[in-house]
Amino acid sequence: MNDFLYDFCSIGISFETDRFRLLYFAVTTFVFLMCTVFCREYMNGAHSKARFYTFWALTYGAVCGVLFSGDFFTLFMFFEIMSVTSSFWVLHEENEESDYAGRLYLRISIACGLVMLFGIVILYHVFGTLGFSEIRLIMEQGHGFDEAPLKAAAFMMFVGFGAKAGVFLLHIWLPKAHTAAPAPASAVLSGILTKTGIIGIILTSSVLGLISDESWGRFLLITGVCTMFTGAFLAIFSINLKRTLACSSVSQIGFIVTGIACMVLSGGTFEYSGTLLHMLNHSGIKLILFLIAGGVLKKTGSLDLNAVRGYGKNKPWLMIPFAVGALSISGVPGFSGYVSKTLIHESIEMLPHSTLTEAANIIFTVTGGMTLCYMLKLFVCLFIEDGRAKHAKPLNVLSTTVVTLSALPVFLAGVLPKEFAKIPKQAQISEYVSVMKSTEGFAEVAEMSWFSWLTMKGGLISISIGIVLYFLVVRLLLIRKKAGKRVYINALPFWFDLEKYVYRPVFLVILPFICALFFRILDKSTDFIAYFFKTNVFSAVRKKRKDKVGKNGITYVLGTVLDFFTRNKYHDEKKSFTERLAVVAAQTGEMARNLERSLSLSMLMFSVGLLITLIIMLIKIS
Amino acid sequence: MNIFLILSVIFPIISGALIALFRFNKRRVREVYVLSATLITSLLVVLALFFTDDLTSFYIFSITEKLPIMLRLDGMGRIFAGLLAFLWPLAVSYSLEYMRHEGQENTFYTFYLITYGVTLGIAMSQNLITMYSFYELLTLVTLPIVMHGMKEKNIRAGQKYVVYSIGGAAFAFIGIMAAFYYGGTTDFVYGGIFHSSMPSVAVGVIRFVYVLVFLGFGVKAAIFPLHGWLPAASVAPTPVTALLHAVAVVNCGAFAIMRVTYYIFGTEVLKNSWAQYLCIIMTAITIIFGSSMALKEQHFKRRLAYSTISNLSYMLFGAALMSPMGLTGALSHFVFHGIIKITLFFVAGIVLVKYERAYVNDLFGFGRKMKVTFACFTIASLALMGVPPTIGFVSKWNLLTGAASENSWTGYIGIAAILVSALLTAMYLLSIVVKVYFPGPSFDSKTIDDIKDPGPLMTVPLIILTITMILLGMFSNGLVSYIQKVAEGIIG
Repeated sequence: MNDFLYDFCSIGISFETDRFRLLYFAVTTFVFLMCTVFCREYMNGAHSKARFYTFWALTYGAVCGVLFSGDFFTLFMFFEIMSVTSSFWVLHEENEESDYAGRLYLRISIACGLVMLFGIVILYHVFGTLGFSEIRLIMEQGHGFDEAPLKAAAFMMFVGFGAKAGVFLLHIWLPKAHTAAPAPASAVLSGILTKTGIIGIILTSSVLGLISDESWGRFLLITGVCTMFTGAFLAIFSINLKRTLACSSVSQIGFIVTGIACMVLSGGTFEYSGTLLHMLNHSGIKLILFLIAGGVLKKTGSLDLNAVRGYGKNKPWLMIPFAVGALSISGVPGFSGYVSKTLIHESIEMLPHSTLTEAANIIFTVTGGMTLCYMLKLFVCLFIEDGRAKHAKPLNVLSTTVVTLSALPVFLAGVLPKEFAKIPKQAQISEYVSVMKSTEGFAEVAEMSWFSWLTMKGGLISISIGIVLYFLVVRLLLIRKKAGKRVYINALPFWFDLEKYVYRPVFLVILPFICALFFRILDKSTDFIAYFFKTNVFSAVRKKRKDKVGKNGITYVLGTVLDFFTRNKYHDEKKSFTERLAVVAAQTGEMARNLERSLSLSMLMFSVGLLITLIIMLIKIS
Repeated sequence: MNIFLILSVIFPIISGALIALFRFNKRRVREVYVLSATLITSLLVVLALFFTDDLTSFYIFSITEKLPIMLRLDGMGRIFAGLLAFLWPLAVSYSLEYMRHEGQENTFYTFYLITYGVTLGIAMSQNLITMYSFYELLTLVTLPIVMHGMKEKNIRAGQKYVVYSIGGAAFAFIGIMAAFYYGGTTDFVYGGIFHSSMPSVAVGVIRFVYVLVFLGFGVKAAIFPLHGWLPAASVAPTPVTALLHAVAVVNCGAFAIMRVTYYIFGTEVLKNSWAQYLCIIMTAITIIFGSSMALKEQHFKRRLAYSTISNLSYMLFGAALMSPMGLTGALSHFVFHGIIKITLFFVAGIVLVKYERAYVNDLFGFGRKMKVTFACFTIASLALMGVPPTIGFVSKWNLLTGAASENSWTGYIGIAAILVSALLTAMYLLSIVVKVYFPGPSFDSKTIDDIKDPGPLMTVPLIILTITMILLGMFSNGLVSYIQKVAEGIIG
């Protein structure tokens, strides 16, 4: 067995495990389990179920492979498999939207996967191995590694992992794909698959010795902050239930990346706690919310906020889980999101002060408020406002149980913040442990008094911002009166689509055009040279120059001389040597030209030349 | 036991000629005959692989005292011969069903079998003059099967093919002269017959000649300005495009280039010279060019032909790196690309001959009915893109690490080209995969009602190839380490 693993693909794969991985394996399994049970009702009556479940199982395997991989090759392999198999979920519905989203998802994951492969090749070149612990060992022993290729490799890996996580500028596929996939698949895509990208980023940063690397940390911080703001902004303006949740995922990934940035900049465990807890939170919360969104879609047939209004009225077993998820993700004290967000917030505040960290701090607080704003929007729409969807049927008992069960861990984590905050200490990621600066952070986390005024201050500021934003933006901008009814409108201009109006034109129109032009020119150049010779040197069509007859110098002189000797006194054109010789010369010339133009002659001449060289060679040798 | 060498070259040639003599009238008899002849040849090759050593050679005759025609199986030859012995029976099995739709089967099989022998001759050549002879012969014997339909377009394609190939071979001939003049022999010796201690004028000439030879053999390997014949030749019946224009003939070009680079000219005189740089740049351009054209091309077989152009230059790039690691990459792609590309062509041929769908856009929804065919196609596509754990990844990995170990712009330019090309590969192949499985909402499923998988003669080769792609990818260590030893000159 070991040989098999060692020889696999002639590079060899390896696995390793630690508490962190086991924890995430448990989370993955829980999410998959809940979603699978939920599928019973959701996929009832759906087409191509066999295909869906096949790729469902394959993806589960691939995710486990990613989690337990012990080197970058194994990680890459399972990552690629996961990308391909999960794309079938996005393509599943087979309508225009899913077609578009699925292709986009495939394109982005494959392109970024290749960039990642490039990074891995560089790593292999630098270290001669890809194992996490082997690279760590070499890093510790060796000195004088060239910084540039390592940084370049790290950046390329970041592109690969970041695309799956959905970081800023690579997030474009995420809202579309998560919206298009069936709800249980969206829950996994959002709750688990994005986290594999995050885990990849953590691994890359730790293994390549980038912890406490100033520039890397700043880069991550900027990316994280941009991601969280963009996601939240898009989520507020979205009027589609699942799309709002998907954009919210982008935003929450931004929070997590910001957490990683703090880990990188400080190298402490306080920051690690915040990051890990937020990952757990997000996995759990998105599970609840996407399942509920799936239920809404199943029962009302729509995701448009106007069409699903009031669906949750008189359905307490839908409202309670949703409220738990929404309040938790908004960071309301008493719920689990509050714990992780507070930790990340504190981490930012503990960073050395600079303009960047100040800005990050402010944006963090504002984005926290925006989270509450869009969650409030959904909650009000589903459970408070009145609408036709009110009379739609509730989910069946099994699905309701699943949703409630999913909400249970999140709820418990919120009620018992002290216990919840102890998890990171128990579940450390071994790669990070070997590079971190101190372990004091765990103690600090354990000593936090969660409900003191000082701790709650940041959260409460965010909440008030959120409520203000809700009334200013959602109630004023998004809701308009139309025909006596108040409806949600799409307030963003149509061109506000990075993918459609920037990436697509650039990558699918402008770049191909330039390349095509370049290659067209090169491709035609051979033909052009041939054409040039044909029309000039070997010109096949030449005007017959009748008027030149007799004006050919040699024939004219010769003809005149002959004429003189034969005493051609009649000046008969037909008998004149001048004329006759000129005609003969012209005919001969034409024939020769024809011959020399013909391919067969050139081949013949070529063969003759070849033969001569061969003969000369043979004589010389023998 | 060198008799196996000559037998495996002569046997298919004779058995092919016999078809021309007797002209079977009964299809069944002919099919059994052709298949058994192919299998026997493959068996002979396998025997030759196991029972001949690297040192002894089989002497056929001499043109002059110093120009012997000799056969020998060394490491590189073994790799090529093994690949041929594996693929040829599968291709014949496929063509049995395919050619029922094309007609003129006697002529076709005559040359198809003769080509097998000639290609083996190239693989087993002991020296450059032998390889050159078989190489010229290959052009001539493949010409009738390229022009098989004998329609206007087939003849055009044939003409183009001949002019390109003969012209290229003439360039290559200059290489033989240089080898004689400066080296005194045309034998293949690992490391080459030239040394950098030669007078600088001679080194200059040798480098110049190398570029000519590279271009000359590059015609068959479809290097950029000389690629024109390959897409045009896709009008030939698919067994021809699949086996000859994806594996045998084009691989002969790549094989010849690897031979002359490492066994005649030697990396010593070529490395870090303008000649190497020129070759690297040409291959890099071809890699991207082929993929871009494939993406643009809507004709299924021509798209694959452009893809072949791009992938052949992966090998040439590896060869032009002039390092053992580069050759390892080149040789592994040499083997693996053959297996993958023949599968892709088989699928293109099936939809062409069974349902007359020549264009990519005619294939909507086909994956639902032709389950086996397109499952194989999907896996082969992933393999060509280089998704682990398929063989495509292994060869790409070897190429990339070989290029990275150069530590100079020559390597990085190739890495960049290969990665861009891999992305394009993903786009031009996966767009087909998505089309056949997800035809879109406006698709009318009635249009594919009577579509079904072809018979076992076609599907069994596909399945064998697909399984090979995955298993060989997972257990590639044996083969890759063999290739590595060959590339380092330990074997052969």
